[in-house]
Amino acid sequence: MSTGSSPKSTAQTSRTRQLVYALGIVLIFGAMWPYTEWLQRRKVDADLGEASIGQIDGGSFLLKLAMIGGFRGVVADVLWNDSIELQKQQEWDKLKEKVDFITKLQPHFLSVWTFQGWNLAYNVAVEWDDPADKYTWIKNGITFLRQGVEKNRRSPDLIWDTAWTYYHKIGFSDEAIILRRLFYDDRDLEGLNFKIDPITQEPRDDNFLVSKGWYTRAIRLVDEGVQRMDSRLEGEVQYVDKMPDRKGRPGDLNFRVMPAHAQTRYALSLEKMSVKDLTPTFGDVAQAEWDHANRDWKEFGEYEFPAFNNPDEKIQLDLSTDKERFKSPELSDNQRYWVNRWADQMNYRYWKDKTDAEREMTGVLARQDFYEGTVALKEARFRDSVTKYQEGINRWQDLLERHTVYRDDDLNKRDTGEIVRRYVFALKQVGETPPDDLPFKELYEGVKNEPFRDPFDQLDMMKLKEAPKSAAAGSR
Amino acid sequence: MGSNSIIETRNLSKVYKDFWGRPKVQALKALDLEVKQGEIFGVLGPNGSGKTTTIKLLLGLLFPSEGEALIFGEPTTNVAKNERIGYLPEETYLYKYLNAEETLHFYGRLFKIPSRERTKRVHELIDLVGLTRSKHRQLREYSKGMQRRIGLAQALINQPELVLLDEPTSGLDPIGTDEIKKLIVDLRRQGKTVVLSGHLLADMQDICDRIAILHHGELREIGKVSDLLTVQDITQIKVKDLPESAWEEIRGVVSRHGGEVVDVGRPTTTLEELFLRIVTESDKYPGRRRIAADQQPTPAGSPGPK
Amino acid sequence: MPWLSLWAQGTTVTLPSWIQWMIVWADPQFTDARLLGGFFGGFMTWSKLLGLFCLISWLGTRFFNLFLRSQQSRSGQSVVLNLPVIGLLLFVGIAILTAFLSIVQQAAVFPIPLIAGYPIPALLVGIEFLLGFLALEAVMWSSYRRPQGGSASQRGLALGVHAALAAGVFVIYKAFEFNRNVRGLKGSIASQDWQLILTDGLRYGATYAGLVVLAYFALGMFKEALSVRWRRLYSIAWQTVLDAVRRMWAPWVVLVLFVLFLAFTNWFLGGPGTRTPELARRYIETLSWVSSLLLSLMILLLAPMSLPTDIRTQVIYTITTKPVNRLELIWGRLIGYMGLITAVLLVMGLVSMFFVERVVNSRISTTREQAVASREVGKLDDARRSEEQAAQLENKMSARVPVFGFLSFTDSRGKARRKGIDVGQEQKLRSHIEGASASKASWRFGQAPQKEGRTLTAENVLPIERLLKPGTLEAVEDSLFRARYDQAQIKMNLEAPNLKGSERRRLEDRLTKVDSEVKRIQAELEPIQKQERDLREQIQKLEGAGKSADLTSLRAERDKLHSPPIPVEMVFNVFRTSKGELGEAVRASMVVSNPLRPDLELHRSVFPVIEYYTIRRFFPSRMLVGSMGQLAIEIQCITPSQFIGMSEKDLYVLSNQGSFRTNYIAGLTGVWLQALVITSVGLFAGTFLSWSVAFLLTLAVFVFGQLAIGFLDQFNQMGVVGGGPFESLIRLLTHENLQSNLASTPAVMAAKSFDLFLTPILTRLIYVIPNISALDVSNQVALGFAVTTPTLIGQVLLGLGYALPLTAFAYYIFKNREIAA
Repeated sequence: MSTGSSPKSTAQTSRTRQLVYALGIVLIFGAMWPYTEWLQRRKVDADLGEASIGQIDGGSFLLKLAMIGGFRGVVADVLWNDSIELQKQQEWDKLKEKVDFITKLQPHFLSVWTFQGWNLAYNVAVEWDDPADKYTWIKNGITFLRQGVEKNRRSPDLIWDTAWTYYHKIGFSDEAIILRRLFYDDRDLEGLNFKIDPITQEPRDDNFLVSKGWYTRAIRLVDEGVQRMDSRLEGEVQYVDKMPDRKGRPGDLNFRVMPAHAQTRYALSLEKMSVKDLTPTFGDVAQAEWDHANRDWKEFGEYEFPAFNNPDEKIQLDLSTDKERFKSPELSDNQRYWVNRWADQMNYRYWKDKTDAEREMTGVLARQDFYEGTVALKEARFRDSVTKYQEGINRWQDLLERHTVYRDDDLNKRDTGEIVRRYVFALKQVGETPPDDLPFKELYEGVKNEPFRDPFDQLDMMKLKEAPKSAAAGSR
Repeated sequence: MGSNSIIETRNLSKVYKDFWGRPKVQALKALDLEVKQGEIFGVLGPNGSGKTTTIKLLLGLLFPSEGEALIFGEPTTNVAKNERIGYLPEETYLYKYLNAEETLHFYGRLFKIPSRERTKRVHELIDLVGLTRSKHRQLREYSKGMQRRIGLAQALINQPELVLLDEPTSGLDPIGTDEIKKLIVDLRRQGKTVVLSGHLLADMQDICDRIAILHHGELREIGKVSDLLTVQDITQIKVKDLPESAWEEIRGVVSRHGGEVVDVGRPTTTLEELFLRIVTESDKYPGRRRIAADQQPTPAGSPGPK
Repeated sequence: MPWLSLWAQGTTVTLPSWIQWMIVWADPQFTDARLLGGFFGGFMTWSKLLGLFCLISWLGTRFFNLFLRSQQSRSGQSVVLNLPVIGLLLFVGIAILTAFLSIVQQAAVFPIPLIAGYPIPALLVGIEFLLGFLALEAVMWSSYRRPQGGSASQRGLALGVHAALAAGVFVIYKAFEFNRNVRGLKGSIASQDWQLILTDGLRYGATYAGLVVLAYFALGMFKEALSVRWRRLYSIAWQTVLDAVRRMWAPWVVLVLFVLFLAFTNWFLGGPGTRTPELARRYIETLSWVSSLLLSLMILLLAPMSLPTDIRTQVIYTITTKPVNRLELIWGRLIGYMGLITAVLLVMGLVSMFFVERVVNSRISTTREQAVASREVGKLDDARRSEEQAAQLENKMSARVPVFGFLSFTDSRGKARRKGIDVGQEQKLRSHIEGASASKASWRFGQAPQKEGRTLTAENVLPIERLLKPGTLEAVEDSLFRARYDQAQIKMNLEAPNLKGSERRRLEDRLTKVDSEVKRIQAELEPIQKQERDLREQIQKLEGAGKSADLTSLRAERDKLHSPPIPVEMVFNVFRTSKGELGEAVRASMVVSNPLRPDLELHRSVFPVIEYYTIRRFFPSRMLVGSMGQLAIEIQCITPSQFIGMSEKDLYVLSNQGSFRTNYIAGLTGVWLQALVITSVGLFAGTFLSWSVAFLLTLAVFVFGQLAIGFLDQFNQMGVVGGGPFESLIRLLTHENLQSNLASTPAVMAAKSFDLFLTPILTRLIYVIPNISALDVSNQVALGFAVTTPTLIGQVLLGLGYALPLTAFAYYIFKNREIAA
């Protein structure tokens, strides 16, 4: 800029400078567009983005804004320490509030969801004495996990954990009979669609069926994932916190077996008073469920798992029950080794044979006889009890002839032994002595002096309010 | 201390120090001063000569490094004496978010004035300083002159016996300055004492009884305005209707007596008087415009402005 | 002070009372909790600490002035090194050296040579004291010599401080001498003891000197306060409010933010998971937290800025030249801001109160509807549960006044114990009693157990006059018993051996008066008892005949004669060793007895224990007749092999259940007091700091007041594991854990010595930072307990305890500060 240049030229240079700036602005904005596209794609891949606008959680957005980036971690740690302290002081509700706060700050921190979900459903629930309160806290835990799933839709872990809590905590805890009744009665007023089966999208009254839905959803996510990301699931995708034992890896057997277990457990509990004051169901409904369970096990058997030491070789557990194909030349020794090893590990033969046996009408009828025999025993109608037990045991004996694997299993031996023990007890009440060709005599001898009470059957565990009506054939 | 002397300072000096107490500026050196009751005392001096420091020392806003200052015979830290003092600071420091009335009520309540009396006096003062029209507008919307006026009003709210005005006329238009001067003279008439500080010599000259001139923190001159301004060896005679021809004669008379003629000529009025006359006339006959003399073809030699 | 602690353990031979009294006044740790229900004890500690601060600040300013004046010598140019500066450097240098040497001594790295029998650190401490004393004298002396330096009162003060120091030494000497006589020691006191006496004497003397300086300042303040006029305060306060409202729009911004929060509560309080009984607590706690946060933010922006802006814009000139003294200026500002806060807080309080009521009442009604719905469908235990939930929530929406008893346990072998069985839970508050065994938990109301040295407070005595409705059968019977007690008391006094004549006559005419009183009550009692008896007969007849129509009206009439049953509330936790009967609750029994009336038939009741729920049982009011506010309640667990856990405050008798609204408003005082403390800190900071620094200081005090108190408490009581700041810095850098002690390298020892120097200052910080979180009463309101007047008085005193000294300090700083500098 020469000094003393005429005023017109300075105006002229300043105008060009304005032009340059304007151009620069346009350019930068222009460059923004492809960049945001690329960023959005990356976000969706890494499952970090808030998928849809409707799903934005206002509170979380505001808090993240307030914490402006890095500060979030510090506050989350402080809140985490507070929550541990609160748990020590048995301030359960404040603990839940603090944990909700943490997830608002760190929605994509997976271990927050898995740990605190488990903590609420298991540790806090067990501290409460009244079963209804236990149920409230289990429900809080599961809802918490499901909120985690909402925020991390592509994490098989969270989905599997939710399924596990439905299946195990409600199905297998000491107060299972009462908890399953509470689940059955739960009208879900808060609109959490707590009982919705994610696959069929309608509510179900049994926690095993709902858990089966969640397990299948997890498996489907992994299957889709596997096709699309294939090996990338293992390597390239960096989740916010990479869990060492990430569920759903290709060789994860436990991950895939759970739907079969859930279905088997459902069928099993149908034929018992496993829900407080609810009579069992037999007949073709029970048979259909057992058949479904058998098919699930076969489906699990046919899935081709990659061998541990050589991913190209495919391992199908079903081969362990099919002698000819097991010996056929295409199978390599390594494959045979893994088939045997994994079949034993998953006890596949037993479960397949058990569901195969129970799905026969004789099996269902035998179960019904045993149930009615025990009811008669409880109501001191010993004569009816004896006839029912005799009929049931004959059917059971004929059934087990055809299912040797199921017969030789210890669990089954003990159950059968217990039934025979009750049969002998009923006989004594009626004044008869057990015949010397008593079927399953050796099983009875083994169990004779330690009576076994099935923890998941109201008949054994609780006083009956009013005598249960005779076994209804209707479905549930 | 004289029987009716309002302010007295003995060896008053002030040294500004930094945080560590190391002296930086010697603002005032050993000032001995006495202001009598009922007089208008002017403190003159260029900027930074210690005028404002003196006023602040008198008001206790600053603590003296040496010597002491007494007002109404009380040390500056005594709070009760403030009941009889009014102060208009250099800049008008008032709350910007109060309107004129609220400001005056705010300061009024700080004195022992019954509320009815106070409200009456607030309205009087607002009219006196000519802010009646804008008394409900907040001070932040006031012009510099209007702020000086409300500043003066707050200084007089308690009918003080001693009024300290720090450059009262700065920022005022000639009419405002004239009104303030009339007001100050009126205060003296009511027997109050006024201490003025400023550097607009013309204003000070007219109204001050006695003045002190400060420079670089030292008192250079003090005394009656009239004594100070009379130049001893010059006599001034004003004559009306004297033709210029007589001027030579007079020069002769003067030289005969040994004097020396310094200057002969027509006195010119001050711009200020002209300005005042025009404005007052326009108030009397609003709307009529008189074009200045040089734009009208008028015969030469018309009589100059009265 | 080993021999002094002899006294502290309450030996049989106690020091003469005046020495005790002087010692209690000398040490901030000791206090006397008996007088005025502990308030006087609080006042003593407060004044001792304030005294120490006044002493330190007075000496500090005197020393600083002396330092400044010595800098500016005759010739005007600055002189850096002279006596005070050298003295100061020497003092600090020796202090650090002593600390370093004592650390080295501890670490025993190399032996410390002895000089004339004394280890060097001890010698250095001696020099320190000497230097300290000299500095003190220099400061005092400066106020004598310079006429300008100090007025007569300053000289008087200096004398007072000396007298106080001497008194401190005298008291210690007297106590020491008394102790020696008790232990029969004779002969002159060893030089070692002299050193002990001197050091402790000076320490006690310092506290006395502090009190003297406090008195001096307080007197000055009092004189100043006398000249304060409400008219001027009101004027300054009104201007402050106008300024805050017009310039900063402060209150509007805060109210808008509050309404915004209320509109989007579900983002923060959302989540359907809040259990019904907890709903009230959650909303009340969050809303009061939000309003206190918003209020504090408003004040944080206003208070620290008010004075500095006035000084910066020089508006202060026109004010200080008016007859308003600096105290009025500060108090006027404080009153202005507190007025603004009260207005905003009331608006926020009322809005949030109605909001909470709307939310909670809607939840109660929906839960009740659920209960009715499930009852129709025949799900009885669902219905019971919903009603229980609704009742719990409703119970919390009130202002319950509990009366607490003293808890003692008996174990399963019947032996009395202070603590029940510890079942290994991490919380140490609750201990447990075993089911189906002799072990029980008994609460004793109205009488404190002697051996534990617990003091009986108003909270432990049952208010009979409120619990028994006047005019009912029980009330009249009780007044009869009281009269009979008086009668027996007087008779006993009459039999006293050497009874003076006048005393005897006085007792006799009191006896006649009490006798007539007894007759009058008996006359009043007969008709009620007769009426109650025939009502009972009629009811029995009708019950026999089974006609229930007019039975209810008869029963109602009889109930009117009796005062209502007394509610007892309890919260227990259950520890199961075996599952027991599935779904069956653990059952407990409650036995209520009147210790003064063994003839009275015990009241028993058995009930299921629902863990963490408030169980409410009742006992008939007849148990209180003649109990003089005493009662015994025993809880036993009936279900075998299960445990019930409880702590002292888990069971209480409800003496009153006030309204939620008044309680909620009373709860707001907590927030108001917090704002008061922050305002006074802001004004204090504003007097001598620029507005931005003042803002930061106030913000820091606000934040630390909430968070750091816990840490400072812990730091104060038992010190922090892992050493002071410098040592933990080393641990941080070398990744050492807290427990392992560090090798004594020079760096570590230097760090430790600095810590030794720093820790006492840090521990004293606990007294400087106001404990803002302690002022909060909102959790009592949230849990549905009444904020009783004693708690309110305590909170207000605590708040004023912080606010007033701060304004006083602000006044003194503001007075000595040149406005126009």
